[in-house]
Amino acid sequence: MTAATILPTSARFPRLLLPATLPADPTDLSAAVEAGAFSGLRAAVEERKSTGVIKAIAESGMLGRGGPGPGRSAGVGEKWRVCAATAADQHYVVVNAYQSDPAVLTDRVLLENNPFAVLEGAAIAAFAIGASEVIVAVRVEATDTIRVLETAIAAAEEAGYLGGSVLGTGTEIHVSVKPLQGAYMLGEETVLLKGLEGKRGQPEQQPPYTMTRGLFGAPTLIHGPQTFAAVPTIINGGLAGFDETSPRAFAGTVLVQLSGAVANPGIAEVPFGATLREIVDVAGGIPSGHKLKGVLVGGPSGGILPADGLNVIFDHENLENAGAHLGSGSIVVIDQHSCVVDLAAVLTRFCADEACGKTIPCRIGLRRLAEIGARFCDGQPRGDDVTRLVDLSHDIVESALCDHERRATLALQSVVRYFRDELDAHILRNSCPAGICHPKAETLAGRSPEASHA
Amino acid sequence: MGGFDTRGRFHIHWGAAETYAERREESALRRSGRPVPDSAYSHFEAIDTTAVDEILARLDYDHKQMLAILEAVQAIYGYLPVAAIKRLSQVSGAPYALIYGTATYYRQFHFEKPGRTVAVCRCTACVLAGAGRVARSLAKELGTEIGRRPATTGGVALESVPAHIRGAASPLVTLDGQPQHVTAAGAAAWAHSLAGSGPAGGGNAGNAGTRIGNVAGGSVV
Repeated sequence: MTAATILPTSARFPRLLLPATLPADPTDLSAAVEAGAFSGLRAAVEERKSTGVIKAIAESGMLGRGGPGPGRSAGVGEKWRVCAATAADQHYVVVNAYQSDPAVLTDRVLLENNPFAVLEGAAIAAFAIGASEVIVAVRVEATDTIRVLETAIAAAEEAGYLGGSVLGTGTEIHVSVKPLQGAYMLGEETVLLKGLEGKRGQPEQQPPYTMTRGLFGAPTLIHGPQTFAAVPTIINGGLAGFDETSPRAFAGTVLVQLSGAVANPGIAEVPFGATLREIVDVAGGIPSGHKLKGVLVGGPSGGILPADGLNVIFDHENLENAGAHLGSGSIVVIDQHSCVVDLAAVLTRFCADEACGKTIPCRIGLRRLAEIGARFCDGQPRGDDVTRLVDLSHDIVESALCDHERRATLALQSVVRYFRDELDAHILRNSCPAGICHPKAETLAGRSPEASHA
Repeated sequence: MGGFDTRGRFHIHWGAAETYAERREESALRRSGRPVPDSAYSHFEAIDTTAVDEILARLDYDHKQMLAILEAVQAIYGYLPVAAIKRLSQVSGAPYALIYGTATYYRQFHFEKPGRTVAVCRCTACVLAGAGRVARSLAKELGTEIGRRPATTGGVALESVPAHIRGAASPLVTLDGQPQHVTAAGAAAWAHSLAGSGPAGGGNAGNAGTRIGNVAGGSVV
């Protein structure tokens, strides 16, 4: 089992994905069915049928974990409707459990502790859009997850919930686990499809969206496991009484991984609409002796929010406005011992290294951005570097092909936006308040290309 | 002056060799009647490719399973030999460049007999604990960069750890997949002992070591 602490949350936080009492053996189908697993699939197949399922999902207003992106603004229900309405010989459902962020284990923990919820949600989706193939893409390194999933799939097929004849109706839903490895970019949906097709992983321009032309050219529905795991609850109508806890209409819960300067690092299930402060408090808050400096939200391509950014409401819209995004669900609390400029520079360098190289703003722009960041930290920062950084970030965002390059600019942009004092100390006074970086005064020799690559 | 085209016809070349897609030095060699070395195939080594044929037959000659095919080939040879990729291309019908492009994209494939691999974890916890600095000093000391192929066969390759190994301390550095005890201050010395030979950066390496030592004092998280 993946070792990660699942943090207890207050009663105000509903637990839809990881129930407070987890079963001793998550692959025990009969115990799971007693607890209500596959009742949503039964309701979908026997009562609601395809249109009823899509209507229920659309009415719930659920958004995918990627948030409202291009072509996704209308939420999960619209995605399902478009996918079902596209005529084709074959439809696919893909569960994107390839967690690129090396520090985040939320999807693995979900799949290992509640595999039947994800499988049931994927089966309901497959039934609704008329797909006979469900593919769960996971990392090769997650051997425990693969083992649990394969055991759970075999048990569900044996009992007739999946396989050749779902619940005796003759509908085929075959689920397969596909381990992938070798590239950070595989977390992006079009790249993941390329990986499943056996090609090199580079993103595709959208539209056409994956709902109309995806895996092997067939209409394909892609969501993360957390989205699929919430589907059975919606179909069962089990969300009554939940709306009051969230300031928005139903948006669901999300798994976050809390780390950095917190008392109890771990994984927690939090509702959209909670504030960042409430979420950090789940991890026991900031230990004594540490002073809160900022919060990195969204993983390697996330943004760094300042100390008063803890009042930000944790949902797609508010995070985007604050200059971060939900991303991998990683929340890292930064204290006074860390330098945000150094952190942003290292993160940008990571994103530049992991870029697939398809588009010029990403391949060259991110490289230049990382060089600017390195100059702030250990090089000779130039007087016009901040202007250059802001202009370049703007150009990258405007001409980007996929979200990787758009969001890779967030870290340095949020430093300019929120930590200008600290950045100016690096550029103007060549000193680092946290005592980590060693910037030097600008000299003519510092303009040589060799020095700028430092 | 001139050359034979792909159908064996002789054409006279008027003007500079570059106009006819020849390098000047190659042109000079060829005109003087000496053999022209082909740099692209200098590493080409003929090997027994029956294993490749067996893998292709087992996986149905299906180019949709190219990753599985390449992984199976690498499992047999330990790396992806050029001869094996050529054979794959010949038998499956997929262009060599396509297979090569796929194989170079995914990080688990390599084209030379594997040497030792040092990997640095780049998860946020490790980054906060100074992994960026460790990676930089390792890269400087080993004379390479993350993801770049080693210059010599059997050289030390520097990569990033795909996912943090549970329970391992930050910053996490692995040698052939095994976690090592490497601190930010001691990274340069560790890499130096690993490389066995003199440091790539010459006199600079000593300075880098002391500088990083100073840094580590302030960056404990």
